[in-house]
Amino acid sequence: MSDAAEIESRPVRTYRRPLGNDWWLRRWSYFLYMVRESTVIFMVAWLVWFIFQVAALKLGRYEPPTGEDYAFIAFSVVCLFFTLWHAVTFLNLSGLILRVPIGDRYLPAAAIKAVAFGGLLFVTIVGCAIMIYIGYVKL
Amino acid sequence: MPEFVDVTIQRYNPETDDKPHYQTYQVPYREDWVVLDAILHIKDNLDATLSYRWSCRMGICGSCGMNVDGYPKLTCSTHLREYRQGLTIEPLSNFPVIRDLVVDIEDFMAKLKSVKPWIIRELEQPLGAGEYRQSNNQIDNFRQFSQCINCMLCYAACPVYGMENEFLGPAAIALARRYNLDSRDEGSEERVKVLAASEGIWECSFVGECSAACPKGVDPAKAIQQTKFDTVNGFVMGAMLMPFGKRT
Repeated sequence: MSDAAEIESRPVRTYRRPLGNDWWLRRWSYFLYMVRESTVIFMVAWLVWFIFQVAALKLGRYEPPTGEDYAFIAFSVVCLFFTLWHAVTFLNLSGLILRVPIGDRYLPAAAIKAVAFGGLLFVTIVGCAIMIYIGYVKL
Repeated sequence: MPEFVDVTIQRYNPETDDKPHYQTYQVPYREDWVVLDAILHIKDNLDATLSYRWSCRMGICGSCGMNVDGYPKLTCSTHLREYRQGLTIEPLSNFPVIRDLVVDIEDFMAKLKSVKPWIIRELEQPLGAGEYRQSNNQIDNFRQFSQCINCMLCYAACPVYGMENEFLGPAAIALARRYNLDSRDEGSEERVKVLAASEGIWECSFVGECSAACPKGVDPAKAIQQTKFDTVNGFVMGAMLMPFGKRT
């Protein structure tokens, strides 16, 4: 075996820098990403509470909120903000991600975005109407 | 009196070092120099043992990607004047370091090849049948993704790849997207096996740093999200709504 071939056959010793658990603190953009991901914890907590309220309603143990539980109202407002943040950022991307072919071109991104936001508005209005109806008429 | 700038470089010699260390050089400051010029100056005048990759010096070959003050950059396109107070140069993150600023690119090359980045035809036309023609609109559909120069900055910026080296990664997926969108190509079903595997598109949690790091304006995050949608759409349409559609 020639010297060159012998050197070639040697295993290469490399160094891999560990990423570390604090990687998300090294850049502002990484930190914002982690904040965005962490908001899910708040939203899940609110949804779990909501499911328990539905279960209580079914079992006849539901107690309507008095409007004086300010901590819970604040928590709900924060959750609403996070939910809207996710909805807006997600739907803002809909025009880039969804591709509706028209011949050899695609529907403009702005049109897809408009439909997505219109759909959100429609679903929100219908959902609110149903909940208000149930709240005032059925209960 | 000439001005100088402190350039700190991560050094690693696999024959003598257990882990990297840093070495600082005083480099003459020139307004028109890029970071690569400073590294070339060190190699030519101060320390001939320094190892790094470079080739074209004009942002085309993608060889000179390094971390400059923690951010992945093409050093031939990054001006020294942006770091007048000094700078630290390290090899690209998330890759094994072979020596100094040289990283092992084998994993990246294997991933690129795995997505079959070439035009696949079910049946090749004979040469006499003429060329495969495309309209400008058809070219525009994939043009952006064809600008990738394989510099690997997106891999260095991606924390998902840093944590899970099995992840196929931004550039490979963007390149697969480029061919899937090409009107001449018929190979998307072959590529989906790699793209939709557990190490493929679903590993991406949309940090978005790959697109921010790209020096050529490619948007790999967009390619990944589009591929996610197309894969789900293909599954729903093919396997659920029309389960017998392709069994003839």
